[in-house]
Amino acid sequence: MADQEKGKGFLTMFLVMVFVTLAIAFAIAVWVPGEPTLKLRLAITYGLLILIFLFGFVVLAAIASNKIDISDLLEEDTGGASTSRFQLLIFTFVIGLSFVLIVACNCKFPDVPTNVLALLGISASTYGVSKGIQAAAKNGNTVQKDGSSGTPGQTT
Amino acid sequence: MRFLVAAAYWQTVILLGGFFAVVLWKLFTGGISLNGLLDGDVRDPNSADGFSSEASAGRAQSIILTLFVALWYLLQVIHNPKEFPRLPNTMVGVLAGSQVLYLGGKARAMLSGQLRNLFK
Repeated sequence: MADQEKGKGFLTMFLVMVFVTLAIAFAIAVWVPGEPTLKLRLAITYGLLILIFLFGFVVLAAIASNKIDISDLLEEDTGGASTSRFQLLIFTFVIGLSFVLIVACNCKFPDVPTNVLALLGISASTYGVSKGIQAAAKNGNTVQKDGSSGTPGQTT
Repeated sequence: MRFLVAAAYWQTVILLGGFFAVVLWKLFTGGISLNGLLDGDVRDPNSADGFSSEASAGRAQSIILTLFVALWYLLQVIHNPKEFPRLPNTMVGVLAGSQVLYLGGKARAMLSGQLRNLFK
């Protein structure tokens, strides 16, 4: 029942966002002076810009108000925060912020050096391999439930 | 057209900055838990799920190096925001080595008992 109400709420919000976008695009197309093709281009561009902003803002507001729960963002399956997730989050934010700064300064899509790609590759691979090790260990543990596989003193 | 560019710029800044701020806020207020960030899992036959947690040097060095490289990179971008800064190959190598060390330690601690049993 609560899920249904939540779904209706999101649908209403989505329709309001689309309506606002169309209204602004229509206003630009009708009242802004200029060539018809330019007006059409401006209407579509502003419309998309506003729609993307509204989508992003709704997601942001939902995260801030805990409607979208991100409390387990860094959580491992076995409990406790995960180093591999933490470093992936840090590098994603750093590269993302750098990208915005560089685009804002140059007004063009920047060249991405190979060692930046390597940095992201290392970070993402670490996360992937870490998940693989965890899955393998968990799998092995369920098979060998006799408990004779412990190696005390070695930590991850 | 200039207004469109400015609007797109501020939109990105508000959304990305907002996501960054919300995640950072939740990290600092405990909304996203960092408990056990430096604790590694170790195979433990006496535990209910087969694993227990202990402080891990591998995780500590990985986090320290990650924060160092991330901060260095961010400072370089702030200093010269015209292009992506070139990372020295040594730094990429050291970071890769650090992650391999962390993953090797993790694999050893979580899988070595399993492998040993395989050869019994």
